[in-house]
Amino acid sequence: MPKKIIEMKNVCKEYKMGKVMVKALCGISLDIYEGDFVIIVGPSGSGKSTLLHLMGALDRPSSGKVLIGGKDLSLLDDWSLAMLRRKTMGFVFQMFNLVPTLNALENVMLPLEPTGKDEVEKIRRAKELLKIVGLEHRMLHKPSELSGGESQRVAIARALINDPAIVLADEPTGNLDSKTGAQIIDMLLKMNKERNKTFIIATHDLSLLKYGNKNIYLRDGKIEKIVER
Amino acid sequence: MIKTAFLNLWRKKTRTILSIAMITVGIAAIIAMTSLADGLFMDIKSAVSQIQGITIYEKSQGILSAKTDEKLVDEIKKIPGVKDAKPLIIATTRSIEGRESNFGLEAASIIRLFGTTYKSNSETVGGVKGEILKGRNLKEGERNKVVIGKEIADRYNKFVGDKIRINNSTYEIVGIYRTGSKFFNLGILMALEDLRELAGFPQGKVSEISVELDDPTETDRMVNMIKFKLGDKYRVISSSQFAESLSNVLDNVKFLVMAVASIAAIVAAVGILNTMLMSVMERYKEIGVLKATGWTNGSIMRMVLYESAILGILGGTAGIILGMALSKFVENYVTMRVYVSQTLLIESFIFAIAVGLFAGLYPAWKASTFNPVDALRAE
Repeated sequence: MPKKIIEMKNVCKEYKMGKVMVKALCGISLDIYEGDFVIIVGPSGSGKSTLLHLMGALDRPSSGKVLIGGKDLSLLDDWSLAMLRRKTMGFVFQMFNLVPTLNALENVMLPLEPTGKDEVEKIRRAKELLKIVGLEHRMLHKPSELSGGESQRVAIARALINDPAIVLADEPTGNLDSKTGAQIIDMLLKMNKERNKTFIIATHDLSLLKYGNKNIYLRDGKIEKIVER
Repeated sequence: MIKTAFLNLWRKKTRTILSIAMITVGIAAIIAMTSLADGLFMDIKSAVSQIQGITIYEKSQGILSAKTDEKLVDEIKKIPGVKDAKPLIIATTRSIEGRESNFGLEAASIIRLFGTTYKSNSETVGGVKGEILKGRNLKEGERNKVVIGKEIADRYNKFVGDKIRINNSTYEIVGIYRTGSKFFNLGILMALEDLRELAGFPQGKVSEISVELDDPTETDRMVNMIKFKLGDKYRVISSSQFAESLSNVLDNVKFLVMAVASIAAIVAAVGILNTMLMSVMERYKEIGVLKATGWTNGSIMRMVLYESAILGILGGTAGIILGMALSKFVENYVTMRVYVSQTLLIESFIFAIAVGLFAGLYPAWKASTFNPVDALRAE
C-alpha cells in the first residue's frame, strides 16, 4: 500500500477580488498517494491553479484541512511553508518562468541558492539533471537562446533539484506544440516510473488524461468526478 | 546569491548606472568638501599656532578693521617682561600688476598686505613665523621695497630684483618668504608707512600691535598684566586664545559641510529607494517563482539588500575616486590646501554602503511580503 502524501478534507478556498469574495474551491476532499500521476482537468476558472497551489503548500485553505506528509498547512507559518516547499515540492509553469539573466545551469541551481549546500555539489547535481532532461550541451545558454521545449526541460530540471517527493505542473505543455508537449509528458512519466515521484499536472488538454492514474475533473470549484485507472 | 544580485542589477544597466552615479556624486561631494574644509582648517590652525606672543587692538572693531593708536607701542614697551612691540597694518588687495587677481575661490584670490617696522631682526611675517627663501628681509626705514610670499612669486612668476605693481604703486622685490601656511604665503610684506599710503590708513593709527615677550611661557600672566596697564579700551589676546576662538568658527563651518553632505546622502538614498522599488515590482512574478521553489521571505530580503548594498559599494568606490580627483584638482588649480584623511575615506565608504542598505530596506521588505499565489497569477 503506497503512502498517502496529500490529504484534503472538505477544503474551501476563497479570496478577495476587488471588493467581492470569490469562492475558488469548495468542498474538496481527496487523497494523493506516493507515485501517483495525477491529471487535473477543467475549464478556465474551475479552480485548477488554486487546487495546485494548495497541494504545493503555496497557500493555506480558507476552511477544511490540507495535510502534506501529515503536516496541517493551516498550522504552518510562512517560513515553515517555504521550508516544506523547499524539501518536498518542485514547480513547473506554463510560461517556464526562468530567470532571463541566468544560464540554464544557474537557473536549475536557483532553488538551492539560499541553502548552505556545497557549491560543487550543487553544480554536480544540476549538471546531472540537465543531462537527464537531455540538455547537457545547452547548459551555458541563457533562456533567450533556448526553444520553448528546451526552456521547459530546464524548468523541469529546476523543479527536481531539491529531489522533491511531489512535482506540480501548471499547464506544462500549454506553450508548446503538440509534439514537444508529448516529449515533455513522456519525460515526466519516465521520472514518475523510475524515481517514484508524485506528479500533479493541471491542464486544459484532455489528451493528457490517458496518462493519469488518477484524473480529477473540476467544474466551478467543485470536484465533478475522480477517475482512478 | 551575490552573483545573482549582480546579474539582477545588470538587467537595467542604465538605471543601475544612474543610481550608482547618484551615490558617486554624493560621496565625491562629501570628500571634496570635507577635504577642502580640513585642509583649510589645518592651514589656518598651523598659521595661528605660528602667531607669536600677544596681539593688541582696540575693542569695538574687528581684527582686520581695527584702528589702534600707534603711540601705544611706546607705552607697551615700558611694561616689564615685554621684549619688543611692533605696530602692524594689515590690508588686502586684489589688484596686482594692474589685473584683478582671480584664482578660483574668493578666499584664495584675496592678497594680504602686511606693513610693519623692522626693528627686530627676528624673521616674522605679519607676526607669523617664516623664513626667507630668496633675497633678504626688509630693513628698518627702507621704502618702496617689498618681500613677497611664495604663492605670489609662483603665480606672477616674480624673482628677486623684479618690480611688482600693487594697486597703482610699483615696488621692488628684495626677497621671497615662505611660512607653513598657504594662507599667509599669499601675502606681501612692506614698510609700515608704504602700506599706510597704499591703503589710505589714518596717520598715527595701526591695525594692531604685536608684542614679543622675554619669556614665552609667561604668556597668560602677561596678557593679564597688559590688560591691567592699558585698561578696558583694548583687546589683548594670546595666540592660544585666538586659536581657540577660531576653532569655534571652524567647527561651525564643519557643521555646515556635514549638513550639505546629509542632503547629498538623502538625495542618493531616495534615488536608490526608487530604483530598488521599481526593480522588485518588475520582478513580481519572478519573486513568486523563487518563493514557490522554497525561497523564504528572509532569502528574498537578503537578495534585495545585497543588490542595494552593491549599489552603495560601487557608488562609494567611484565616489572616493572622483572625490580624490576633485580635491587634487582644487589643490592644483586653486591655491587651497586639501587634506584627504584616511578616516574620511573609510567613513565615506561605510556611509555609502549604509545609505545603500538603508534605502534597500523598504523595497526588500516589500518584496518579501509578495504573496506567491498572486505573483504567480500575475502576467
